[in-house]
Amino acid sequence: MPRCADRRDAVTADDDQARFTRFVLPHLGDAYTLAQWITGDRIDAEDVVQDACLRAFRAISDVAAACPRDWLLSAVRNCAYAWLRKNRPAALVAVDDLEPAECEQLDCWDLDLETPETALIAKTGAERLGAAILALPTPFREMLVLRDIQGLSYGEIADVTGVPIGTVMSRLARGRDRVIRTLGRKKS
Amino acid sequence: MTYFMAHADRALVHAYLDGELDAANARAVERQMASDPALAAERACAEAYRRLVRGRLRRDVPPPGLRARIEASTARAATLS
Repeated sequence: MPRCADRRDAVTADDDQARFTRFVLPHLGDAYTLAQWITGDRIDAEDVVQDACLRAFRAISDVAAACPRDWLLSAVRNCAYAWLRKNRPAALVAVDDLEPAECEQLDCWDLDLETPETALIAKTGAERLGAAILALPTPFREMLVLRDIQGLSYGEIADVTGVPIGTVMSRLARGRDRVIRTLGRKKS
Repeated sequence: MTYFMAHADRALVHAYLDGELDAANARAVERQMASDPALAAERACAEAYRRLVRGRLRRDVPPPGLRARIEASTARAATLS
C-alpha cells in the first residue's frame, strides 16, 4: 500500500517539524549565545547554530526524550569546537598547559587588586567585561558563559560539556579569577 | 600540592555563592571563610564579579532571518530523507 506508506511518511515528517519547532527552536537564543562566545564571530556562530540545529532535527526523537536545551547546547558546542579545530586550532589550548603560569600568578593575587568593589564595579562596562571573558582560553570561557550568562547549574554544565562536575567547579573559579585579575589590574 | 588544595578551597567559595553546595558543605565553607583571610578575600572578589556580571552580560538575540534559514534547512532535510 504505497499510498498509505507515503501518507504515514508525510505525517511523520510533519510531526518531526512540529517537534523541532516545539523542542528546539525555543532555545535558539541560548544556542546562538554559546556559539558566538566560543567562535567569537557572529557569522560563524550562525553557521554553527545551523549545523547544530540540523543535527537536532535528524535526531529529534532523542532530543525530545532528553533535555532539549542541553542536547542542543551540547551539539552547538561540538560544532563550534569542530569549527575551531578547522579555522583556529591555536585557540584549542590544552588546559593542563595553563597550570604552571597560574601557579606563579597565585602568589601575587592580593597585590593585583586594590579594592575589588571600586576598581571593578564602578569602572567596568559591559564591553570591557566581555573583552576580558573573550580573552579567556575556551575551556574556561565556555564555563563562564554557560553559568554566568545562561544560568545553567554545575550539573547541567557537566552534561552539556561532558566535563566532570569537579572540573566544572574548578574551571569556573579559575576563569572568574582571571577575569577579575584582568579587570582589577588595569585602571581605566 | 598546596596549589591544588588552595585552589580547591577557592573553587568551593564560588560553588558556595552559586548555591551549589549542600547545607553541611556550605557551613564548612562559611567557617573557613571566617577564619582564613585568603578565602574571605576570594569571597569579596567573587561577590564583586557577580555584581559586575549581573545586568552587563545578556544572552545574545539570534539575528533576524536565522530562524527562517534553519527552518528552510530542516524542511530540505525532511524531503531528502
